[in-house]
Amino acid sequence: MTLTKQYGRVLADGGARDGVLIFANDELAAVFVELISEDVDGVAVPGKWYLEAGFGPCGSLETLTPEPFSTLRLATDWVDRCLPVRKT
Amino acid sequence: MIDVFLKKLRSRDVVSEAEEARLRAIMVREHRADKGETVVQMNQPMSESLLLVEGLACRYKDMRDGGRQILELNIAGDFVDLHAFLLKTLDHNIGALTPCSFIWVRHDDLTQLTEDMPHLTRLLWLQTVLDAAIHREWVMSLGRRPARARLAQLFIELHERLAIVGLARDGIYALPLTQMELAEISGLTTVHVNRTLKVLREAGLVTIRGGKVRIENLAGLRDAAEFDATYLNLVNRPR
Repeated sequence: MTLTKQYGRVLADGGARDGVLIFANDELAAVFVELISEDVDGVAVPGKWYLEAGFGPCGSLETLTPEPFSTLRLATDWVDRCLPVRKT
Repeated sequence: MIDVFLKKLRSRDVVSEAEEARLRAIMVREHRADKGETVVQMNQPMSESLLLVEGLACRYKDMRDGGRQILELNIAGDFVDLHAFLLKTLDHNIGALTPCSFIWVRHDDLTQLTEDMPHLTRLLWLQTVLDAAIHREWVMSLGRRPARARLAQLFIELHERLAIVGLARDGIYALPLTQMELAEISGLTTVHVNRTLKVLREAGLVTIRGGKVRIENLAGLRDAAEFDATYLNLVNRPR
């Protein structure tokens, strides 16, 4: 499975945020945003990359929204774990 | 010690002196719980039920992955697990969200009460009926209300319930919950709870600060939640 990233602004619930779209073999699997202090006011959040939207195996049918990830690498690792192993 | 419970009962019907005396006679054994304590574990045999007289407690269930759903908030005056009187074991846990003061009520005493006092029995039955109505409203929230309305509904419901027992005044009441606990109630993530609280605050509807809820615009908040108080049955009438 090849994961690729595309950076862009995301219109999140709390306002526009820097985000990244994660594609799995060119199919959109997840959108993460980089949280700002307004998003986590008073909350001990371990990280800053928040799953704003997930699709397919990363979506609500299969998963609950995970706690924010401290690095983008951990976020993409999570996407990787969600995806089924495909025979090529 | 049970004044708050009597206040709740008397908000919906008359409680006679004899009925009050019986309740006072069987509601004596206090249990103080620390914040975070699980007071009753699910699936345990029960021979007593818990009346909450001070603090904030909840019914909750855990998932295998450590996630927790808070199924109902219990406030002072709530007979938290009166249903254990008939079920004899609970399908959920009971936890103290703040330091709490409970009273254990023996099921043997409740059995005798139900045989002696039919009207008081109906008033106790009403308590579990109201719990069921609250659960239905929470299902409605979790299934059909968007995040903003979900939290708006919670804040109004608590306002109405706390006002009955004199713990909410002028739209202000104590609610020392973390955003994680609000997330466990509302099925949202902590990030979304935080964003939603901000939206409600900026709309001038409600402010949560320092463990206190301040409703700034009750009519607006009701509208945001599509709130209909019918389920709380805030009517004083013969039961």
